[in-house]
Amino acid sequence: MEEIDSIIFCTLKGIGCEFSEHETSMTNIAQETFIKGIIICLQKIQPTISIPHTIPRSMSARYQYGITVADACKVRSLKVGYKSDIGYQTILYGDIVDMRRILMFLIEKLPKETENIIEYKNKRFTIIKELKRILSYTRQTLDSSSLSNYSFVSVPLDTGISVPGHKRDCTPAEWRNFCINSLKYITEQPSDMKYLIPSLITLNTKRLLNIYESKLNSTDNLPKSRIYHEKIKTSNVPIISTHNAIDQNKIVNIIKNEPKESQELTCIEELLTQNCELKSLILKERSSKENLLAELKRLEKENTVKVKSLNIINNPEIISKLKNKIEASPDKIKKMNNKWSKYENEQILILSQLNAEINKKRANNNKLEVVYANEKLKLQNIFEEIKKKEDIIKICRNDLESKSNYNSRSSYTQRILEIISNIEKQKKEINKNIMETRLVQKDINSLDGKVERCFISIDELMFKVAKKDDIIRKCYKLLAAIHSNSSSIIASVKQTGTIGREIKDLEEQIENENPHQATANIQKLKQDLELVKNEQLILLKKLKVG
Amino acid sequence: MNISTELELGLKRLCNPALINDKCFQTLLKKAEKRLGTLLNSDTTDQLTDDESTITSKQDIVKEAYASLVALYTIASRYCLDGNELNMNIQTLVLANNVRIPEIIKTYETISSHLMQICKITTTSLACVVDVECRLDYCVQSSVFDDVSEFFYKVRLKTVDNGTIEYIDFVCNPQQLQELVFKLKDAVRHLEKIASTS
Repeated sequence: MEEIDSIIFCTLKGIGCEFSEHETSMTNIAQETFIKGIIICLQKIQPTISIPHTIPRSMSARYQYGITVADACKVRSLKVGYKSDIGYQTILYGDIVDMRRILMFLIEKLPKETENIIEYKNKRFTIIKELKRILSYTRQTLDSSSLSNYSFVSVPLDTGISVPGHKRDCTPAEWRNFCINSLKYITEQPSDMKYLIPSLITLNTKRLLNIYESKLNSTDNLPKSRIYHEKIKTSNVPIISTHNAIDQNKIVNIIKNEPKESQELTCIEELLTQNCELKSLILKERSSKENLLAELKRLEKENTVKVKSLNIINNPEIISKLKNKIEASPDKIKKMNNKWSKYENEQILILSQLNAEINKKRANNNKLEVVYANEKLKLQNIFEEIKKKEDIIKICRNDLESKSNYNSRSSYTQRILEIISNIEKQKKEINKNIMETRLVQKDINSLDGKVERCFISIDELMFKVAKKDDIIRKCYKLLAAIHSNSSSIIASVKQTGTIGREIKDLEEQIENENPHQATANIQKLKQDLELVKNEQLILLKKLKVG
Repeated sequence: MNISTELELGLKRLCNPALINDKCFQTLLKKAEKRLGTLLNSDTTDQLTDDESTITSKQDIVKEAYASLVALYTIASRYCLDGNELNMNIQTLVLANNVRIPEIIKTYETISSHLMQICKITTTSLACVVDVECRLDYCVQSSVFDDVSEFFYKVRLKTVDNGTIEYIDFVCNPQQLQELVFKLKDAVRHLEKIASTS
């Protein structure tokens, strides 16, 4: 039952039923979670079932709720069709057995994962197909165009249109002049035609977002455009023929700009070279400065040392002190030497002791090494022996196995069993014999009694009659003799029996003693005894002689 | 289709016969057709010569009008509009019942397919860097300076642009390289920030 409970528990968890902390098994599951589990199962089986997960509070609503849940379990059209008896009472007040039965039924009815996978796969398959179809279509259309891809790179363009409300950096007249004379047509503005479309799109978007870039181009070109304007005026070219004006402007532009540019270029080159030279000079100067600073520091240090030494030399007190110190120094050296010699001796002693110890330890070590080597050899020998013995064991085992008449354990057991059965048979026979002997014993006893009683009665009768008749007196005497003889016979028979038993015991004893060579020992003892007796006699004779 | 006020102004000027006469208008249409109709056709771009003698109107206004026209065509093709839709847009947004509109639409219809093709193949996929090789060199002396004593990196970026491999070579000193790396890191951080906030 526990296994079933665990399966139910796991499946409910798997389909998304939540359990609180203390609900660890089916036995302590709350009624509400049980109902929730049933509803989740039902919804998994039939997604169209819509039953709220929370149990209503009022009792009537609760009964209704139980009825709907029970009905949902019963209804066959909803793929469920619970066959056993079920009602609101089983839902609301069901015991563990009912709960288990319902949940097992519902779990069996749960849609299997494989079905889901197949459905999922089918869906995915259709989506992939659709995607492939679309992709192939777009690819075809793209392939038909012989153009290669272009990246969306935009460059700033200018339409020349002034929007009211947006101010430029220049006056409107200047801007107009620039537009007339210098501004290119929009299709000629980008350096590469592939930038045209992205740039146009970007331009529109920028304007929509109210972004106006700083008019670098326009401001740069404004002074130039002014010059051009003046030039145009002076050259008296009619502005109406714009085409000519543009051409002339171009020429003027080229003429005016060329020398200037070349001058500027040379200037810039010169400046660049100068700049580089200056940079290198600065670097050199920096390195030399660092070197000089380092030297300065060194010199300062030397200087301080020298100043200190000069101070010392100039001061007579210090000199006298130093002289005293110098004079005292030989004594000090002597003292120190003495101390040193003492210390040295001590240390030498310690060293010699240590050396001796080390030597001892070395000797010990050597001994131990020798022992170790011996032990090692022994161990090796033992190992070799073990190996040999193992080999022998193996060989023996092989032999044993290879031998055809080797009986396995079963044969021994069979034999043992046979012996046991024999013993049992013998036991039975012995018991039989014992019974027979007992019977015989009884018969003998009864006969004995009979004989005794007969004898007594006859004895009495004969004794009474014997007084009157001589023959009977003889008979009586004979009877007494028979009785005494027979009793003696019986006694002798008993004696023979006991003797026979004794004989048997003795024989057994002899048999036991035979292996111990008792007879030989007795003979030896006898001989020894005789020798001892002889010696005693000799000694007694000596005493007598003495 | 959204068109900025700037372009609206230009279009209004284009459709104003007082500012741009009929001849000039025709020339502009032809010019736009020629430019946009053969845009990015490698064999024709070099041979384009404009007959601008007929442009007799004011130069600045002509340029403005032309710019607006070209922009209008481009944006319309970007939205894949056909003639009628463009007509509707212009009618509602910019101009109403102008005589010149049908001609503008007509020109658009002739060049729209080509423009749409170009819009399709203009993608945001830029050349992407796939590999970097670099070599550290030390310059001891150059033809100009006796003592240069400077490290410099020779960097080669391997890029793949539309299936073709291109190399971008440049030389920089370690500081410049470091600066480049920092800037790239900043860019990455910026992107991550945007990604996290969105």
